[in-house]
Amino acid sequence: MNKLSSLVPKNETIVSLNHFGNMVYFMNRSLHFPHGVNSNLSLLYYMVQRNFTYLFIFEDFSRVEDVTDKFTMTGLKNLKHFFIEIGDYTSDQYRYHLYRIKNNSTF
Amino acid sequence: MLNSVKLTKIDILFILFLILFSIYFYMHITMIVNPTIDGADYLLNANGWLSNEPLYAPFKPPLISWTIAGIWLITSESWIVIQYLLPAFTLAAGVTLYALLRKQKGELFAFGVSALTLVNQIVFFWGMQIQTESLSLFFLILSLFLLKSEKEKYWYLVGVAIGLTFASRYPIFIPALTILIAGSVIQRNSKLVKKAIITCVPVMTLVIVSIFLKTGAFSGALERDTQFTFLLSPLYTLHSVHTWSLVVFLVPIAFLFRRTYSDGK
Repeated sequence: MNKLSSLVPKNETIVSLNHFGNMVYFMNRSLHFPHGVNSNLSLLYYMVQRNFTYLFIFEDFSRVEDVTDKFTMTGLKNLKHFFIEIGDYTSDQYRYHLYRIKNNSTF
Repeated sequence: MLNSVKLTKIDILFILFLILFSIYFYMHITMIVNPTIDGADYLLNANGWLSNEPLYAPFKPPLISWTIAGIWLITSESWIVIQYLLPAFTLAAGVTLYALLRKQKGELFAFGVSALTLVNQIVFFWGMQIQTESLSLFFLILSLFLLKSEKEKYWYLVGVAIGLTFASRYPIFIPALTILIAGSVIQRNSKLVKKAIITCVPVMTLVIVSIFLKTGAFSGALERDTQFTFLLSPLYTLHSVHTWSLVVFLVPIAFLFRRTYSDGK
């Protein structure tokens, strides 16, 4: 997580649908938990509106139940319409992915 | 006290088992690449106790974070150090269990129970994580060990051990209390309970007051996890084999041969 977060510029915030202690402990960046997000598109809209660029995903797992199925292996492929994956990591328990919004993803 | 103990062949066998088990146990620990989500909460709480920052997870029991904070005062902050030191409580629990049962039931019985406890998959897995399982298991067994002591002065320590069990993992206070009550009933000794309570209450009060002073409130769990219902949860029945392994079948069989359970002391 530390290595993944180091791919994000220090002044940037990382958006994640999970907010766990290991993220706070190991990611030396500010974290943001989005509210009212229930689809890939609404997540993108939320991030663009607030000028967030980086998204951190736990594969197959999210505290926001509505979107958990979006982050399965298949679901993650759909994210690639709007995001570029810039890193991934497999821990003892989870597989993490770090995404950056594509430059042309604007509303 | 230990100087007077003469080592038997089975004692030596247990020591050898413990050495081999420790090697195997720590080999698995070297493969851990990051702490569990809860483990990170305890690390963050330890940071909170060492600084003026608020606790990340104030509802978590504090003893593990105090232990981590104490270690960091000596070693400087590193989760790796904690990852290697904390599982020592699991090994200590195994040794304490052996010492307890050796006195009560003999070396062979003690070896069997202690070895099976240590290799139990739940104890093994959670015992090597930065989690409260190893700490609470140690203090729970220590409570039982001190309870079985014939010296009255150790009964005060029973209370301290039960209080520390509470501080290490709140719900394990219930089995610790059950052990105390059962122990006093079996020994027909109400003085035991009184002496234990004299020391247990201050320890528990200290824990609760410390958290209250730090966070302004005391909560033993997240609100969403504390919904009470009169309907018994089937969770432990459905997962009984996974939780307790084959012991869940062996205990009823053992009860059929009640003499196995007769307490010599």
